[in-house]
Order: sequence, then structure tokens, then C-alpha cells
Amino acid sequence: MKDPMDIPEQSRDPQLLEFDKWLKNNSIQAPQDFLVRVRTHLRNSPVLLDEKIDELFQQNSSLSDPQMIWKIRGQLTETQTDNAPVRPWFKWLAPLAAAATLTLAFISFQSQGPQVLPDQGMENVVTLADTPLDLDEDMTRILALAANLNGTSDFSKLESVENLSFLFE
Amino acid sequence: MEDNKKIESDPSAVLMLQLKDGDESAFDQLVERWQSPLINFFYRSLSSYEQSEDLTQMVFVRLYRAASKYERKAKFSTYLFQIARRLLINEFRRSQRKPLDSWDPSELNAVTSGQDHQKYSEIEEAFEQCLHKLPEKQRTAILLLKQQELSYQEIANVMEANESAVKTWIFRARQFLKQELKDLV
Repeated sequence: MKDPMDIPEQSRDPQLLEFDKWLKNNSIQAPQDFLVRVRTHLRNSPVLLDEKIDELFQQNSSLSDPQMIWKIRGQLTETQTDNAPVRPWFKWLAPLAAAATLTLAFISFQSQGPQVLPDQGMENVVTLADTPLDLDEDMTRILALAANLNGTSDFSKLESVENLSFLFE
Repeated sequence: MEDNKKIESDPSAVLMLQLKDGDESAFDQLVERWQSPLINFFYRSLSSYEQSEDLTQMVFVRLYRAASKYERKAKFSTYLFQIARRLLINEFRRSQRKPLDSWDPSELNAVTSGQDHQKYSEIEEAFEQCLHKLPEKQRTAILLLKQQELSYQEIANVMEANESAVKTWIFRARQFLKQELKDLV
């Protein structure tokens, strides 16, 4: 059956053909020394928070909801620029939230994954251990926020890191 | 065997695996191979040469840093443009702080660099305006289809959506463009 979304007559439109031709015209060239610039950038720029957030969520496609990532990013960048003092409870709450997230992720992995034979089990554990999460302060905060979101079905309800208090209810 | 065949038909994935094994020259080849497609993808999305160059650099920085964890799960171009799209969305958010679908790249470029002022014909300006009127998802989908020549399935992987959603975005984009362009050419 013909897919109604594939409409060849549209691609015969002269306007659209011209437009497609324009899209394909890769007229912009990178500068001659582009590779040198990239190498310099690599040497000089630290790993940014944005990069850590994307890397973290790339590891689990079920956590890659763009709205959630946006809110987490917003939270983290706002708290960074505010220079507001970190509330004392956050320092001990964040690792707890991180641990809760990892536990949930592990349980989720266990329950969703395919059944494995006993002798394959150890192999899987070894594979997981090859890519341990590096839990520095930033990552801990990201995970804490993710744990907060994990507790609610509606991501839009995330207003502040104070929502983390739900963990103690 | 099947995996070996797939990887041989994707030389950039081979280069990425070589980089993972510490071959620095593989990274140089990846930059050489992908700098033009990336910078043009960003340029069509942002219309700013400087921003396009910056974002292209950032894609390669991320690629290099991710090499140690790289596993070939999909075509390399899918992996690369997934990084590119994430950076593009971050850039939209940072610049506008407003819903993505109402974002108009032309607002971002009140001040543009020399190369942005290339002599555009009237028709090219109209094309650019039409493209920028599209919501981000439709714009990115049509760019990946027509400019980067990715398949629907590959676009779905890049955009973390399903194939039918991609078809819908492209269908709507083309209907909109058809309407907008009908008096132009």
C-alpha cells in the first residue's frame, strides 16, 4: 500500500525542486586551519556542564526526553549563575538521590532486559562495570534532579531542586 | 560477519574505532570528512557563519571526548548528527529562552559576520526565510533528508523519534514550503 506521506508529485514541483537544490548546495567552507582550531579547542576548553548532561542522558534513551533535559539544564545553569549558596541539606541529599536513581535504573534494567542464562549473567555484569559513571559534583547534581523527575509522571512539575524533598515523604 | 560487512561500508565508523584505539590521525580524517556537511547543516539552521563554525568545532570536540566510549550501534552519520542536533537545540535554548517551535533564526542574527553577507539572490533569501519559518523538528528533518541525504530511519534515530513522526514532519514541511514558494519561482 502506498504511504500517503510519500508524495512524489510534490517533489516534481519546480519550486520544491529549486528549494531542494538550494538546500543541497553546500556553499559554506570551513576555514583552512579548521583542524588546528579544533585541536586548540580540545586542549583549552574544559568539559562543559552541557556536555556532561548530554553524555549522561545519551547513555539511556528512556531518559532522553528533551523537555526533561531542558529543565534540568535550566536548573543547573540557573543555579550556577545565581552564585547562591548551596543549601546545607543539598550536600547530603544529592548523593542519596543519585544512589536512588542508580538503584531505579538498575531495577529497571533488570526488569526490562532479556532473560539470560546463568553463565551469561556474569558477562553482563562485567560489561556494565566497563563503563562506570564518574560521579563528580556536577554529575551528582544532574542525577539528583533526574531522581526528582523520576518520581513524578509529569516533567513539567519540576520547579526547583527543592522538589527533591519528595524523597523523604 | 554481518557486522563486519556493515562496518566496512561505513568508513567513518572504522575511523572512530581507530580513534578509540588511540589513532590520532583517524580524528584528523574525521574532521576532514565531516567539517563541510556539519558547517552547512548549522549554517542552514542558523544563518550565521561564526555560530556554525563554533558549533561544528564543538561537535568534533564532543566526538573526540566520546571516542573512548564509542560503540557502533548505528551508522556514523546518525551518531554525528545526533550530537549536532543536541548542540543546535542547546544553542536555540540559550539564545532565546523561549519555546523551540517559535524560534526564528533571523532574530538571532541582527549582527552577522562578513561571510553572512554573501550576495544572496532574491530567491535564495526567500528560501532562507521559508526554511526559518518552519518549526525546528520540520526544519531539521528536511535538512537531514535533503541536505545530508539520510534515510527516514536514520533521521528518526538522529531525532530520537519514530519513522512515522519523521514522515509527518517532512510531509508538513513540504506542504508549507509548497504553499510559501508557489509564487516565487
